[in-house]
Amino acid sequence: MAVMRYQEALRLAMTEEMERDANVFLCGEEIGQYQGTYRVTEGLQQKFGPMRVLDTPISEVGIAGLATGAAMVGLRPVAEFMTWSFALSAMDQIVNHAAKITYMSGGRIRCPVVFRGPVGRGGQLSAQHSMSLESWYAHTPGLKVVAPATPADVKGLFKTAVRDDNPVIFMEHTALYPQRGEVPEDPEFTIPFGVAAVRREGADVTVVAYSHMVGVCLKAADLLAQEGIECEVIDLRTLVPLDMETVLTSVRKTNRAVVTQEEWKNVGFAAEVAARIYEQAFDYLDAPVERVGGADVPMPYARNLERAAIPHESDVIEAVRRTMS
Amino acid sequence: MIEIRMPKMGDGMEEGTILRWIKHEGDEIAVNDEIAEIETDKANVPIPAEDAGILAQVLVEEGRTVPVGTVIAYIHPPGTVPPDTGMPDRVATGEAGSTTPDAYDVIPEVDIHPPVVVHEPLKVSPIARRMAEEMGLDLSKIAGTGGGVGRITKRDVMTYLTQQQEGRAPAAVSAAPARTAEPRPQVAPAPPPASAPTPAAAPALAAPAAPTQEGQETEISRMRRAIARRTVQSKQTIPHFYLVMPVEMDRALKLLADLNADTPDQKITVNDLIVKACAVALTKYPDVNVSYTPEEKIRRYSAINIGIAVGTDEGLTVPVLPDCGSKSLRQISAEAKALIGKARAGALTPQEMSGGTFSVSNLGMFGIEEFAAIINPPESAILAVGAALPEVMSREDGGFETRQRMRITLSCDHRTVDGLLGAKFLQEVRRLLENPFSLLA
Amino acid sequence: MAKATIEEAASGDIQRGELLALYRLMVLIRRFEESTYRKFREGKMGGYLHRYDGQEALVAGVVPQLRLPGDYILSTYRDHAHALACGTDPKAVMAELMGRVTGCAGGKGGSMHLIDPPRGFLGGDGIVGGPVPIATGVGFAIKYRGTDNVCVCYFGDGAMNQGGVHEAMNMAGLYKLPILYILENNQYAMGTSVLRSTGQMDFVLKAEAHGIRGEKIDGMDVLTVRDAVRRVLERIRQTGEPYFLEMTCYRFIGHGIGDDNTQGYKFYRTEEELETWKQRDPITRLHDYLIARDMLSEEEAETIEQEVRRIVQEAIEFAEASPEPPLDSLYEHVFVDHQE
Repeated sequence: MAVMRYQEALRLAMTEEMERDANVFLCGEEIGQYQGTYRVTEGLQQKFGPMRVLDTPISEVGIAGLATGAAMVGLRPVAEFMTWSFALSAMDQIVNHAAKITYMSGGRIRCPVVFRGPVGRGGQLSAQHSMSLESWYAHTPGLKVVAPATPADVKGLFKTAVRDDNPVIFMEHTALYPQRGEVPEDPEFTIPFGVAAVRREGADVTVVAYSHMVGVCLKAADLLAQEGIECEVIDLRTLVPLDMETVLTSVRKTNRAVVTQEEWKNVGFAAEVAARIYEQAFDYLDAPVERVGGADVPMPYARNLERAAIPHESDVIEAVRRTMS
Repeated sequence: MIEIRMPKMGDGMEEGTILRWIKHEGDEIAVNDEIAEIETDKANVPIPAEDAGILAQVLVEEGRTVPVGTVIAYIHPPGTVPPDTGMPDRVATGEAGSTTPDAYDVIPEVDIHPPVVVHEPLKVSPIARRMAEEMGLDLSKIAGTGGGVGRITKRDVMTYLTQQQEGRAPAAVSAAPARTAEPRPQVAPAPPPASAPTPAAAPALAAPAAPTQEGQETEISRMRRAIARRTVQSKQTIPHFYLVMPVEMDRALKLLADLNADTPDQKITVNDLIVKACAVALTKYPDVNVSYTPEEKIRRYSAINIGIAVGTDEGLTVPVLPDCGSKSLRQISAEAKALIGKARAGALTPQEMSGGTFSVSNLGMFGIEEFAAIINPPESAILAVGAALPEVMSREDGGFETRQRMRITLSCDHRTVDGLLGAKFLQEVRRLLENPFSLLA
Repeated sequence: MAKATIEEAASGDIQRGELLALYRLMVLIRRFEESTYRKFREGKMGGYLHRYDGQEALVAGVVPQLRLPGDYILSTYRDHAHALACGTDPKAVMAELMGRVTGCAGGKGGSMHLIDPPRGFLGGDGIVGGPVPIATGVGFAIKYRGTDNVCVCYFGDGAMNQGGVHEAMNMAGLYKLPILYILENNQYAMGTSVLRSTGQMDFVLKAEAHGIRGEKIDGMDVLTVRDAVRRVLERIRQTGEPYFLEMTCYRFIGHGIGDDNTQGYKFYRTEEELETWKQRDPITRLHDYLIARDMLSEEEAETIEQEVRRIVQEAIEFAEASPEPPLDSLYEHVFVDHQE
């Protein structure tokens, strides 16, 4: 174990996978000479050269197409979007090509590509730079969607993503990059997809989260514990595949659930989890399932408005209390 | 004979209507001649002939709608004579098919019932509803307090049950423990109190005079987590009841002293003797050696595999002695010694900790008089063994004497083991321990 | 209107056997496409059905010049000809069009998604301009591996107005990727003439704007196509740089079944224009060329015709006799079964 930052753990995972498999290469805007906008790829072009750490023009369609095409003929590309907000113009390549080629070809083509980059609000980055849209990708059959919450997870899940034979949407929250944690140094350390982690056990309410919201929910759970309310906090880790079993086991115990996400609440991923709880654990519920999510507005710039648009510990606490009322 | 079929004219087209026949039976047809005009949902279009010949027979009359692919006419190639037989009759116009509007004209008259009286629906959470069903409770008698709308919640059901019990005489359950008011935990910690309903907890802590709860948190070990999970699961899902039995141990202790004097290097312990007694008793009462399965069946085990609770610095482990029913006291003793040694060294394999069908937990060596253990799922019972302590007994002749008395407590899963069965089993254990020579066989 | 004739092969290296093979391939494509039209009208197929009638030279002049496998081909939704030219069994192509489990994509892809990876055919693509960014990745993989293979990417005049195409071509020009771009300029993006869609009609200029050399050739003459492609392929293999070939051509039918059946193509094309282009039918031109040089007799032509018809008929019979995909395969292939 070594203590390192989230972005360092990710860089370590990249380095290990590039050393392990010569088919792995990185491409994206400003990842090489500039060392990466969030320094995730710092030093990698010096180490692996310009072909394996490929600086691209600001061309999201081109980047996504390059990665998808290279994956279709056997390479294992890792394409970075400077932020996932910029991936919208590449949606046709991701959704219409990468996600579907295996199915459209009757299984004759594999597309082992990883699309990765930061998500979520930064500091007053306003409307066009603060999105995640994970529910859009999770909505699309053929894409795996990963949202790691800890330094150890970002390493283990990234390595699994690179080794997966399917397109993987890999979302790193900007607020997590500087966070430190213990990370296994074993180069064979991986975390399987579809296995949620119980981050805190509790008997009263099941709180479901992923990515940055895991930390928010854990803090909320600490505060609620002082009131005598014990939350069981579940980190989904991957949205596709989705480990509902861990969620359902917990809900059958607690009889209550709060599902959280930072992204817009309307038609968000929390709604999917809540619906599945209703479908699969209805008879165990003692209160309506609560959702916590971002305000359904384009992200405002002003500091106070931005803060009001994002879910905080207090929102989780209020939702938990509603289920306990 | 060449078939002409209703062509598919677009991606969404499933049927077409013959508007008119441009060519008629007997007409000569050249390639690309328009034979008929058809109507699709998008446009009226001609059907050009793909083959030359004579229009032999028209099968679909004008105005009829047929599915794509239906043969609508026959052409026979030039220079051949059309056969008279073998042609299907043309499709008649009119009321073929079930989707004609006529079908809707004969709706039978419907009885008009008197208006239904609408009741305000009872608001009940799904799990509260299920609990009430399973326990046969009348929901209308339970006061709902949840969700700000008076919804009956699990807590309300529990409160109702508590009130019911307090309002009556002590529950007439034969299995209720006679001596233990509240079962005390064994080596494992008590399940977190939060698992029970906590209506009073929040206001109490919110009061201004609440004591501080400062302290340090530490990460728990994997083993501790497993213990926590299993004991909570056991206490939450298994309806425990407890039976306490006193056993006079004088003869057993004397026997052990004699045996161990002969072979001091292979010391047989009280616990070994108890395990052997349990194995013999389980052979006599195999319905205790069972599991209640998730499919709501009872699985009776052929082998008697007895777990021995071993406390270590890390926490509780339960190594399992397999097939005790066929083993001698010495075999059991030797194997138990080896397993306990491995348990203390943390060297048990997962196989050595699984497959148990019954368990024994002994805290007698610590002077514990008696206690009730938590059942180790999926087993149905566990025997908790206290210390053998001297007690002054009145003799029949009016005098007094001191006897070594040990209290054993059987925790039973009421889904599989009733009070009567548990009591008989315990009687047998006592009989064996008080007549220990039978255990040497 | 006088029929257009074919010029003597510029390279002069072509043998009779190869010429007859080109002829046979083009006839196969034409007869195959005609049969799909019949089968569609019988209700045996769904979707749109985009046929290649008239454009055969663009495939017959190119694909036989490739090293398959090794080189790669990406196509558009008008992709039946590309599959046949790559050597995909016509039975598997027909079965795919009929949505049968024996189809080249197991019945999951259909007309726009024919595919044959072992032969280098990476598939059709239902999105206008869609294959061009993919080609960047395939070209990059070739360069990454350091071989002298080539990725051939087909697209239409309509695709030249898609933004992603220019992003992708810029990257190919920047990185110098071994891609042969073939612009199938059949003058119409669906029903919209290039005259009504395009500000700058010099497509070669657009390629050159991205640092890619290019030229415009007659796509109705299979030998012109063949010669140009042989020369250009040689150049790409030597330099590793992309090249752009605009091939002028014309489809003799509608964009798809929609305007084929209703003759809706008459809304945007005149009978005269169609007839003019039919005079340049690449099959007729090669036929006349071969007859004139005593390389082909009418009897031999008829033999080829019969052989091709038999192949098509067998494909139809195979497809019609094949089962549909089993219902329990619905969720199969959403993801690759993971193998470590």
